Amino acid sequence: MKPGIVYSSLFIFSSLFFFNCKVDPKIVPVLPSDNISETVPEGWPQPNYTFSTNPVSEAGFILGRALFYETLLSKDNTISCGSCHQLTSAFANTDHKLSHGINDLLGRRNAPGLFNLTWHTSFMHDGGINHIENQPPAPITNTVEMGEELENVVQKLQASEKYRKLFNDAFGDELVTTQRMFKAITQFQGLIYSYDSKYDDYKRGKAQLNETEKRGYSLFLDKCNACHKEPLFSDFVIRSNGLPVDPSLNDIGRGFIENQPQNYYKFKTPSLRNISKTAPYMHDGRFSTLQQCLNHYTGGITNLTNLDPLLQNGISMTEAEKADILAFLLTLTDYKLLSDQRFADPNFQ
Amino acid sequence: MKSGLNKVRFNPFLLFLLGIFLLTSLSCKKEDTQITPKDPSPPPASQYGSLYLEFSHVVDAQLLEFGKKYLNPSGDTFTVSKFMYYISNLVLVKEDNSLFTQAESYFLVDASKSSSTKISINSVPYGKYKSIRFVLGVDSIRNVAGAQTGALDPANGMFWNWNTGYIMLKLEGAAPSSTVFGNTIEYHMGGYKGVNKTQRSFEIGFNSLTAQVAQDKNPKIRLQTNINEMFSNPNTVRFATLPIVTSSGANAKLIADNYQDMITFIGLE
Ligand code: HEC
Ligand code: HEC
Repeated sequence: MKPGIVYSSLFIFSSLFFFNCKVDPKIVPVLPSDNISETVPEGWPQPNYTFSTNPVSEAGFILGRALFYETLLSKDNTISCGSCHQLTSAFANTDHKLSHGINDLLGRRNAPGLFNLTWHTSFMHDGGINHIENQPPAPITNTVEMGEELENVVQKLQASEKYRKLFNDAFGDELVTTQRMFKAITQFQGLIYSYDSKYDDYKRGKAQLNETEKRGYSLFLDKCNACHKEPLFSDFVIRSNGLPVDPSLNDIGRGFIENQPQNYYKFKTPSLRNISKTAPYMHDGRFSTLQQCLNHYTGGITNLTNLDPLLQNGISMTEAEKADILAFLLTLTDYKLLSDQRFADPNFQ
Repeated sequence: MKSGLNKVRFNPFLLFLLGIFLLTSLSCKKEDTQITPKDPSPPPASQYGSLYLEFSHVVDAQLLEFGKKYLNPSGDTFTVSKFMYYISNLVLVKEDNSLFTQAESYFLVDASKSSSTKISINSVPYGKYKSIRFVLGVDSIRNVAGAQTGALDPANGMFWNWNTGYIMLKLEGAAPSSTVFGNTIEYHMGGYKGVNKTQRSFEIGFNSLTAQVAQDKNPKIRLQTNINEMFSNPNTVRFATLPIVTSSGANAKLIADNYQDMITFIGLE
C-alpha cells in the first residue's frame, strides 16, 4: 500500500471540506507520523467511543501525553496521572494496593490498568463515570489523589509557554479550557491499545499455544469467559464476585453511585489482558498473586449479598486446572505495549 | 517507528472513502448547531431581533439576600449563602403556536452574579411570542456527551466528577434546626435519568400578553425564582430531617418534584 498517496489525497479533500465549513484548517485528523490512530482489530466488536466529536490529530495526542505526565495537574505540583498509572505495568500501579496521592494520602482503591478504554461502557471500579472524556476531572479534583481545582489547572497551563504552544498546535489557538484538556487526554489514553499478546498472535494464526496453555484456554472459556469475555476479556458489566467486605474500607462499590441495596458490593468486571503485570488485584488490591485470585473463586466466595448468579456455587477447579488457567492468563501479556515508547513519559526521552 | 497498526490489514481505498465520509459528516457539524427556526418559511437574515430573560430571586415575598434570615413553609429559619441553577433548551412559542428553538442554549444562573441573571437571546425571528419553554437543569443528552465547555464547563462547580452528571440546582446555607456540623444546609440537586431525574421542564405563559420582537422592539421577560418552593408542595422538607442532599436518588426527587413550579412570570417590559 502507498499510505503517502492515500493520506495526501485525504488531506487535500479534508482541507476542501474544512475550508467550506470555515473550521480551523489546523485541526486536520491526519494520522500522526508515529502511526498512532484509531484502530479496531479484526474480529473485535465496535468500540463504544469513536472520537467522532474529538478528531484525532498528532498534536492532540502529543498534548494529551504531555498532560498525562504533567504534575501541574495536582495541587502541589508533585503528582501526574503517570505517577499512579505506569506504562511498564500496562498503566496500573504495581507499587501500591491502594493509590497514593498528594501528601502521601491514601486512596480507597487500586489503580486499574489503562488500555482498550474506548470499549469500556463506564469508568472506575464502580462504573460511576459515564464517558471517557469525563474521567480526567475525577482524579484531578479528588482530594486524596491530585487534590486540585480545575480552575487552577487551567490557570497554571495558560501561564505556561510550553502549554500555550501545545494547545495552539492541537486546537489552533492558545486558549486552555477544561474541554480541550479532557479531549486531548482522551486522544492519549483512548489510543492506548492492547492487542499484541501471544494470545492475539495465536488467534491470528501467527503463534502456537503450548499444551498447557491450550488446556488453560478451553478451561477459561468454560469457567471465566462468561464475565471476562474475549477478545477484551471483560464484558464491563458491574457485578459482585463475592469478595468478603474489608471492614476497614467498607467499600460498597456501585452502592456509592446508586444507593440501593441491590447495588452494594458490585464492581466493574476488569479486563484480564496484561493481568500478569497489573498486580495487586481486585478493586482494593487485596490479592498480590493470580493464584490467590483463582483460590478466591474455588473457596473464597463468602459475601453472598448480590453475588452474581453464575458464582452461586463458586467455580470448581482442580489444582492442575488452576495451573493451566494460570498459564493461559500469562499469554495475555502484551509486551509490545509495555515498552512502547510512544506512550512513555516525554519528559524522560 | 513501526507500530502495531501493521497487524491490522487496511484496504487503502476503503480507508480513503471512510476518511472522506467521516470528514464530510464531521466537518460540517457546526452547521447543525445554528439556530433552526421551526417556522416553515424562515424570515430573511435582517428580520431577527433580541429578547431578554431576567431572573429575580426571592424567598416567598422577600428578595433574596445572602445571609439574611428567612422562614421556610414549615416555619424553620434558614439563611442562604449560594444559589445557582441551569436554564437550558430555550424555546419561544409564537401566537400561532409555531416554535423558535434557541440552539446551544445553556445558561448558568448564579444569584450572586447579576450578569448571570440576565439572559439575552439574539437572532429571534421577528414576531409575537406568547410563552417560553425551558428546562431547569441540563437535559440528559448533555449529561452523557463527554467534555463540555462554557456554562457546562465542570470548572463551574456544577458537575459531579465521581458520578458523572450535572448539578441542576445548588442551594447552600445554614439553618439552626440542621443537625449537621455548622448547622449547614446543602442541596446539590443531580440525577438525570429515569425516575431519579432532577431536571424539570417549564412552560411559562405571559398572562395573555405577547412579547413582540421587531426592529425597534427587544422585549424583556421578567421571571421570578422562589427558593421556598423547594421545601413544600407536594413534599414537606424540614431542615432537621433533611439538611443535606448531595447525591441523586429518592431525596433529590422529592425536592425536584417541589421545585417544578419554582419559576413564575412576573412581567414584560
Ligand atoms: C493517586 C493515584 C492516581 C492518579 C494521580 C490518577 N489515577 Fe487514574 N485511577 C486511580 C485509581 C485508584 C482508579 C480507580 C478509581 C475508582 O475506582 O474509584 C483510577 C481509575 C482510572 C481510570 C478508569 C479505568 C477503568 O478501568 O475504569 C482511568 C481512565 C484513569 N484512572 C485515568 C487517569 C488519568 C487520565 C489521570 C490524570 C488526570 C489519573 N488517572 C490520575 C489512581 C490514580
Ligand atoms: C460472574 C462473573 C465472573 C466470573 C465467572 C469470573 N470473574 Fe473474575 N472478576 C469478576 C469481577 C466482578 C471482578 C472484579 C472484582 C472486584 O474488583 O471487586 C473480577 C476480578 C478478577 C481478577 C482481578 C483482576 C484485576 O485486575 O484486579 C482476576 C485475576 C479474575 N477475576 C480472574 C478470573 C478467572 C481466572 C475466572 C475463571 C476461573 C474468573 N475471574 C471468573 C467477575 C467474574
